[in-house]
Amino acid sequence: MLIPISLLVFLVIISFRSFVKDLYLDAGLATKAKNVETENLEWLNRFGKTATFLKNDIKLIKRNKRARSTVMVSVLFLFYGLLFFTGAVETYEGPVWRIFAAIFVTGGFLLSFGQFVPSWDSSYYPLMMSQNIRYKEYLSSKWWLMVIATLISTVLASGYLYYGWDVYLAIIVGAIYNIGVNSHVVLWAGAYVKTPIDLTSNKKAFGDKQAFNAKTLLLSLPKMALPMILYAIGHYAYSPYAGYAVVAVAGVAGFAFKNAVFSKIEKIYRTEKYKTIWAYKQKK
Amino acid sequence: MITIHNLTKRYTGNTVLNIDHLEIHKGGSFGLVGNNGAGKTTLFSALLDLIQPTSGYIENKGIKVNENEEWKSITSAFIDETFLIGYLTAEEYFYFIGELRGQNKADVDALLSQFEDFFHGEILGQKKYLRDLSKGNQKKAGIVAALIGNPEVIVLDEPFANLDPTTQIRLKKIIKELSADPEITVLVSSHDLMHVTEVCDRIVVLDKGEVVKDIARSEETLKELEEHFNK
Repeated sequence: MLIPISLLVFLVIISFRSFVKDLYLDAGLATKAKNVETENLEWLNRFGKTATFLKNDIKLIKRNKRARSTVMVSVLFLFYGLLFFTGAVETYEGPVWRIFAAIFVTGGFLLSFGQFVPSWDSSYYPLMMSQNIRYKEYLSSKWWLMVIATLISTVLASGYLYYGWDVYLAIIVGAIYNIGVNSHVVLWAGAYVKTPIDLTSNKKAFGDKQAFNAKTLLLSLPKMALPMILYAIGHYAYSPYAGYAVVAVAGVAGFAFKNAVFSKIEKIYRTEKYKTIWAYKQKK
Repeated sequence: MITIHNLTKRYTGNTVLNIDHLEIHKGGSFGLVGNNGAGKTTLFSALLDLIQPTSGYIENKGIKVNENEEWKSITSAFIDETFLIGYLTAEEYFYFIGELRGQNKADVDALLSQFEDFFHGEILGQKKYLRDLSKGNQKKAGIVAALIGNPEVIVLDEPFANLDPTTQIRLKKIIKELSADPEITVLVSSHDLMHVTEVCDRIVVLDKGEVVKDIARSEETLKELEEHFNK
């Protein structure tokens, strides 16, 4: 018991360090954009705008306590799976709980950061709303950030291979579902969240009614319950692998609807715009 | 350039803005004066589509601002600190705005070099985030950011407030130079009658949301305004 845990901790620390080093260098992003330039200009233009926001979001996370805590949450959630896969908690031993764990292990950042889009930008929302910005570009930068974080979590979670291929397969399926479906659900729900965030204070990051109230918990139900139900259907109708397949297919299908979902979210953003600006103006 | 049609804004029964018709022509500088609560910021917010009018609409270059976003590429504004990104340094902020407006680093640098005087060595190369700068310096950064990317309409709300006298004089020079360009329309609001009469060639007085005076600047303007506010 002690060996696997310490091994996992070790692995996570090593890989987390290297990813932080690579990810946070803006220079890395800039050169990437430059390399693409010669290949296809039109694509670069689109990537360029998204990269503009992406660079900003990385600075947002690096330089603000409240935003940094979402990275901590995702690291904590990485270990959450231990409760399930080690059999430490008896009630979690049913096969369906594996998917539940996998969603959390790979989606810590997605869930904790995504639920407050666009509140992260609340202190300068009027700027974003009057600048030369297309909603789609703004949204897609947040989406990419969540996707990248999910992929990194999935790689870090490879420590769970210790508990068998089957466990890691569940985690990969969870990641696919997170990227394909939950990333959309989170952005969608976020469009209705109008709580301004004071970036500089960390007081309210945990256990605060803003962060974990009944409403946000309720909103997270479809994110958790749906993949569990999908898995259960496949698992009990045929086999565990069929269960994984059903969840993965749902994830891929969600991914295919990305444009449609983004248009829908964009519409919500637009109709909620005045209310959101007004709500962000009300100081805590 | 900008046309206001039957614009009203009511908050819980209180009318804060009520303008039948107002046309602001291309080029030149337009000054908005009035006491607190006269509706100056409300009007600018409506122009930037940050609030929803109770009735009526505003057109910017023939585009209804609440229906189409095309005006955003030709318009820029600095209203208050919500137009600043606190966790960026001034340079990062300028480049960010530049990228949004299709300007590369060299373009932005070229523009910034014209404002060295105005910055007075307190903005660039500070290694400080904008949120850690003084109110006056934040304002300088916000005003210059609003000039990035060749906007045709520039909206500045209370640009003179919080600036020291030297910077106010430099800002007046900047606004005069901008409005000398026939392609650029500058909209400025202020509490300071002297500043406004000095830089604006047309001055509109708002009172309780209504236009009570609309005058082309002349020798008599300052006196006329002072008499109006001394009633």
